[in-house]
Amino acid sequence: MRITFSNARLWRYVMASVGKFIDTGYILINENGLTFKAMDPSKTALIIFEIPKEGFMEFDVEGEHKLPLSIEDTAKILRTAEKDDVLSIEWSSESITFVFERRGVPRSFTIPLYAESAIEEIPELELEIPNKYVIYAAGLYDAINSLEDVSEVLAVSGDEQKLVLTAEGDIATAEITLDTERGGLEEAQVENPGFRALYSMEYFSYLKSPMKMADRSILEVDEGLPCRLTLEYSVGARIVYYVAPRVEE
Amino acid sequence: MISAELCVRCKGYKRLCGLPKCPILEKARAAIEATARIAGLKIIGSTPPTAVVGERNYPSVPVIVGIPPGVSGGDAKIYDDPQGWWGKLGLTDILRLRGYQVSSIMRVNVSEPFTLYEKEVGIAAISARPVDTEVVLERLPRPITRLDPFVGATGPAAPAKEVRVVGNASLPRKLEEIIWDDVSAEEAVFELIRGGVDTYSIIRAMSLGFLGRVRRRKLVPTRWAITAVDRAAVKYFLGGLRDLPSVDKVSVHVLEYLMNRFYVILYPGKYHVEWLEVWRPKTGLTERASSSVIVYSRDYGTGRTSTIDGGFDAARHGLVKALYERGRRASAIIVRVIEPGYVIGVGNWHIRETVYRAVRSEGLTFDKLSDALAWVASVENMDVVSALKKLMTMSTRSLDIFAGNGSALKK
Repeated sequence: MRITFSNARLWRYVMASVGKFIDTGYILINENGLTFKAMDPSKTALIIFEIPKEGFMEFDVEGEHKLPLSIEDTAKILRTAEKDDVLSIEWSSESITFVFERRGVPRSFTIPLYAESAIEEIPELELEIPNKYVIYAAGLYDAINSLEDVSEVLAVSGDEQKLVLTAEGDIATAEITLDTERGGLEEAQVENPGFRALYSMEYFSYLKSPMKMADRSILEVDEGLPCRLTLEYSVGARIVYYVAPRVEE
Repeated sequence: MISAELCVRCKGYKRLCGLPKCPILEKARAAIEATARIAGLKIIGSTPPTAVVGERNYPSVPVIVGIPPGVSGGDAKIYDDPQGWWGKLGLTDILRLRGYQVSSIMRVNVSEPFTLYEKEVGIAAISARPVDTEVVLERLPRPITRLDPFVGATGPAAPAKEVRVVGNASLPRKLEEIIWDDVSAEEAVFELIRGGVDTYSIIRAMSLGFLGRVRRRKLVPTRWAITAVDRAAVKYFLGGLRDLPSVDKVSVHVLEYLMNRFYVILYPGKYHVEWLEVWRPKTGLTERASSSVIVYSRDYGTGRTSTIDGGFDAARHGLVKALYERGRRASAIIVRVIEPGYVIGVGNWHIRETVYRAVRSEGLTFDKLSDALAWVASVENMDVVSALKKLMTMSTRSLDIFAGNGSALKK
């Protein structure tokens, strides 16, 4: 069985980002497509990388296959992916093979799979989050890039027109406002205006590269709830990323 | 006025205040008189071994070999023996021992570690026992102690005209084997840990360019080598911890040495560590502070940390090594309280050793993590209490509690 994806670089950036804070995850492949899932050991962040069957150039799959793997090893392999590389994935019950191909020259890397018992169960999150903001292309990347050095905590607040991202450090404070009228924000659907939610900045910093590559970012957020960040890509792929809230008790 | 918080983060090394030299270290330097008896330009003694690779003028770096004048054989060991010092010697004893050693400085290009092997200086530096050495200095050294919060203090120094190793070095067997192996430095560190070689020999071997791919071997400034070995050790022990059962109780392990008090709180779960440093006013780095300076960092469970902190690296090394030896994994909170008498850092070794010994100790058990934290708060001063409160009240929730349709849990 084999699947082939046209943009190896997207995989490269996703795995490099996830590998910064998560060791293990699994790929689930079935007739609907591919899902990669991983959660960090402190259970603060959960990432789901999905590509529907239609997003693949080749999709030769029967049944369902769960492939637990080392993210560090996978990221090391994917580090060699270049702009024009096409990525194929083949697997057996014991190993997974990544094949990059550019100008007819294949490069193949095989690593062993983990036992399924080595991967901790990842919870299903079906949250209804009342405030939803659609952000233009790299707007979120620019914001995080500017704020991350100021504070360890990212405060998110907003109303029906604007989304405010704030970093309050010991010495300095930085604030970025994305607005539906003045720019940065494509759409805002807000049921709980005036909310203020807190998250660890580092978990947003990790995802900067995938944020930069996204066509569109959707941030769903509310006080005391995890945020759900959806990054959409032109090839039909998307990342759904949850970050647990920080709470002042 | 430079804020004490900046000083604590910098530790005199990162030059965060913009000054060319750390004024605090300069002041301490002047206050500590080196005690070495230097009669002439020729120094005869045994290096314990002490070998430090500096980073100034990289890639042409100073290599410092320390020798206590007139002290030879086994008696020289005590001049550089962190594991032997622990719990027995105080801050001034350690500074006195360091100050007694004469540091002979050679300048070597980092790409040419082999020049040190030819003179047997490199081999002497990684010996398990003191090695008789003769040094002819170019000039008489000034009687001052050099201070480095990471590496520790070194005694009066002068450029060496000649360094001659006259005794026989005795290498741990595993180390003797690995220096001929063409493997990555990280793999070599793993192998040495597996072979039971002590951390300080591994650091010297890494620093003197004995580890790594043969064609790419270089001298590594000791500060960098300490960080590299601590991080490699964390990675090595973490690999083993993952498959071990978790501790089943919450416990607090308290240990104090060199006016640094450590509370290691272990609780059931996957490995991840939170690090809280409470620098009380009037330590070497908080001279001007009116209240405690708090430093916070964490290891997310992958071995990577939220800030770059050599002290935290050393603490994590001690923690994971002890957990591995106990055959248990755990989540941990480490609180380090630095008391006013800690006027100057003597190296990160005491953090590594104290945390290791704390985790190996029996500890007090509690039903809940909040009870353990409350107990620490009850026995500590107000600054520590407020730091702990910040840790407890500004917590990140786990995604677990939102599993399924978790919106019902919204506050």
